[in-house]
Amino acid sequence: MFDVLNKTVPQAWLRTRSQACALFRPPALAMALMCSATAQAQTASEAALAPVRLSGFGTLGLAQTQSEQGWLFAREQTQVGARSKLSASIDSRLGLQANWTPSERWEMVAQIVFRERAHNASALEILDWAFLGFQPSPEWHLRLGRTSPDVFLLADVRNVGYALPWARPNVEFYGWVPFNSMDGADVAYRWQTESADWQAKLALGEGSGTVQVLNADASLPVKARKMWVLSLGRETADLLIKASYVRTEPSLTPSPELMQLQQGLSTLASLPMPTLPAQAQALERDLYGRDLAEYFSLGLQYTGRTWQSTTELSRVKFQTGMSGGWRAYASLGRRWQRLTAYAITGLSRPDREAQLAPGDWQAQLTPVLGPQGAAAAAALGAGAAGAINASRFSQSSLGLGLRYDFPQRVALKLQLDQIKTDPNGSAAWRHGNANAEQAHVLSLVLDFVF
Amino acid sequence: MQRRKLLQMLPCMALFPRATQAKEGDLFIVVNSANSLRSISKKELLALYTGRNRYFSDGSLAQPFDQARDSALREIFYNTLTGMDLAQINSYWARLLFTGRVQPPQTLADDAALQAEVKRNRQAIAYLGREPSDSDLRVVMVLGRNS
Repeated sequence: MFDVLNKTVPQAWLRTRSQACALFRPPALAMALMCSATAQAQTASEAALAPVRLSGFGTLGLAQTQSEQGWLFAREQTQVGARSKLSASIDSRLGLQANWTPSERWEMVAQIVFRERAHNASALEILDWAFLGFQPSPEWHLRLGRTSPDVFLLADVRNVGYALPWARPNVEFYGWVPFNSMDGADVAYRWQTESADWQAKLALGEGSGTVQVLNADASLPVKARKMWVLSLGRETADLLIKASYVRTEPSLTPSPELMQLQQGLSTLASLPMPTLPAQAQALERDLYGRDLAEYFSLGLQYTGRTWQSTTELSRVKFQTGMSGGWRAYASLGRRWQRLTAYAITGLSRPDREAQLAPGDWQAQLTPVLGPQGAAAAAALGAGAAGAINASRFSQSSLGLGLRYDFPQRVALKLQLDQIKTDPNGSAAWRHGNANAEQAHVLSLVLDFVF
Repeated sequence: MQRRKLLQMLPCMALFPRATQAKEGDLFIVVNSANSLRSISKKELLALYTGRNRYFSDGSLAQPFDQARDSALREIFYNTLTGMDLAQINSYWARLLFTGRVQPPQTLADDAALQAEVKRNRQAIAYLGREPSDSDLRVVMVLGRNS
C-alpha cells in the first residue's frame, strides 16, 4: 500500500556524521535532488497501481441451549436463531473486506459478512459496508456510502469475534438492534488535548434490514428513515469513553398476520361506542414501533495489561410499541498471558408493563355484533396484545467465560450463560412464550482474523 | 598524529551527537534520511502505531511498518510501547481495521526487508532490531526495554 502527494519538499539532507561535510559539495546536492524527484515519480506511479488489501475475519461457533420450555437461543433479532438445542448457526460467520487507498486522502472500503439472517432477508444485506472515504486533513474524515452506524461502543465490530473479549456481544444490549448498516454519509472530526484523543462524528442516512419475530418465526422488512447519529468519544491509552445518540423514524412492512390484526382493530376503532374504539386504536398503534425512535447511550471500556472492563448503558425510546426501555451490561476480565477469564452480566428492562388482553370486549360487543362476532373481536384483542408483547424484551443474564489466544490470531472461547426471562419478556427467544423462564446457554467459539 | 586526526573530527562529531546510548535489546526507530523528521517522542510513535495519528509532526503522511506478525521483535516493540502483548494488540487492530477506521501497519519479513522499504519510501517509519549502518536511513529514536 503506497501513498502519494508527499507534502514535504526535500530540503537539507542529513547523512551520517562521516559524510556531513561531503553534503555541502554541489555535485552531491544535485544528485540528492535528482534522487528525490525519481522517488516522487516512483511513489506516484506506485500509488496509481496501489494493490487492493484483502482481509477477513470469522467465527466457528457451537451453542447448546437448555430450556425447560423448549425455547431456543438467538443472538440477535436479525437472525433466525437456533434451529435445535445444539446450533452452529448462531455465532458462525465469515467476513471479507477489501481496502483500496489510491492516494493519501482517498480510500474505498467494502465488507461483506456471511452469517445466518432473518427469513426472506435481502441478498444485499450481506454487504455491510461499501463506502468512499476522504480525508482532507488529519482532523477531518468523510465517508459516503454504506457504513455501520457508529452507535454504542461495539455496534460496528459486533461481527468480529476476535476483537471482542466474549463469545458474542451482550444479547440484552446488542441483540435487539435492527440495523447493521446505514446508507448515507458521515463526517468525523478528531482533535487532541494534552491527555487524550477526542472524536466527534455525525452521520445521516437511512437504515434497512430484515428482523425476525423470533417467537413467531416470521420476518419483517424494516427501515429507519431520516436517521441521525451523533457520537462523541474520548480515548487515552487504556480508557475509552463514548456517548452516542440516534434519532430515526422507523417503519416496517407488516406481515399478513399483522395486517389482519391492523384491519380488524381499525374496524373496531370505527364503531360508535364510548370506550372500545379508543382501546382498539391504542392496540393498533402499539402493534409495532413507528413514528419516532431515539437511542441514548454511554459506554466505558478499560483495557489494561492485566484487567479489562467494559460497561454500557442505553435508553431506547419509541413513541409506540414495546421496544423502548433501559439496557445495560458490564464485564470484567483478567489476563494471565494468553488466558483471560471474564464475567459479563446484562439487563434489559422495558418501559412499559405487558399489554393485557382487553377483558370486557366480549360483553361490550355482544349487543352490537352478536355472540359470535363479539367472541371473534375478543380473540382479535387478545391476539393483538400477544403480538405487542412479542417485541417486549425483559431479561437478565450472567455469563462466565474463558478466552485463550493462540499465536496465529486465533482465539478460543468457552462461555456459560444463565438467562432469566420475565413474563411477557421473551422477545429474544425463538419459540418463546408469555411465561417466565430460566435457561442456560453453553457456547464454544473459535474466532480468527486473516 | 592520531590525536590530531581525532581533534579534527571532533567538530563534525559535535554536530551529530548520538541521540542516546543504545543498549542490547533496544529497538531502533528509523525513517528515510530524506524525511525531515529528526526525532520522535514515544507518545508520537505510540499514536502512529496505534492508528490514532496518520501523520508525522510536520504534517506529512506516515506509513508505519511492522516486523513479521508473530516475531519476537514485534512482541517486544508493542509491549514496550503500549504495554500490550501480541494477542491484545492483534485484537486492538482487528477492531480498528474491521470498523473501517484505519489499516494496521504493513508487516514485512525482517530487518532487511524493512530497511529496504524505508530506503525506498520516504513516508515509511519502521523499527529494527539492530542499529542500521545504511546512510539512507536515520534513527529518530531508540526504544529501550526500560522506555
